[in-house]
Amino acid sequence: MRDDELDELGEIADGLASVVALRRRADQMETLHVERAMRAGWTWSQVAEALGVTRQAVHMKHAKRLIEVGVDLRRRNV
Amino acid sequence: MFDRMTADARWVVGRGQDVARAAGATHIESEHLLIALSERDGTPAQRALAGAGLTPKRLAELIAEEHARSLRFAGVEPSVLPTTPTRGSLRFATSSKSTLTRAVASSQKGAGKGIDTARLLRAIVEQETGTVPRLLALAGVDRAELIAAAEGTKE
Repeated sequence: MRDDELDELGEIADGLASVVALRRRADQMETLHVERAMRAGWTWSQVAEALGVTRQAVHMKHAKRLIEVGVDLRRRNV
Repeated sequence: MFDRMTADARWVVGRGQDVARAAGATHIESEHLLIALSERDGTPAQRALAGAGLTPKRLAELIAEEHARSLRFAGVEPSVLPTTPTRGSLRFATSSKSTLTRAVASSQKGAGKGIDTARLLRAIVEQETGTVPRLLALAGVDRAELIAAAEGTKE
């Protein structure tokens, strides 16, 4: 590597990349744990409250996928 | 943009979306385009990547290594979470938008060749920071040599 180039694996680049990695990990964990909760019978409102977001937000983000993976969401419209 | 692409380049962009979905990504990142390039046999970009040891399998390993390194820096032990594939039409992330913009710009300056896989590879590899330069650094791959190898052969 030449001196005038950025160090792609230096501490500064690692620090910025860690932010990206944490966001990705947070998204993965949200997908995983919302599915777990809904499979366990939690309501949208309970999941939303636990995540600190609105029921609409969690529904919009996850409902379609949960239906596709076969989670039964009937009588869960609260 | 797509009308300026060769058939191989269009295939790569479409395949990039499949790669992103399989990885459970919400957007198409430039590393997904890079994997797609490495899968298109018979193209200068694929040959250059393979020549540097960058097969689809190796690139996937390097991406995992980059993610693990970055998580560790944040103090998070990179345990493996189940991958949940994403569905539907994915948007381009900022990284791949910049890549495609650079590819279009280079094709306008060049000799009217349109966007081929070598131009796509150059545009991806020219990215200065982010996941792609980090995984190339982890692999010890010289970016200039990679570009030269791809552009030295005709598509």
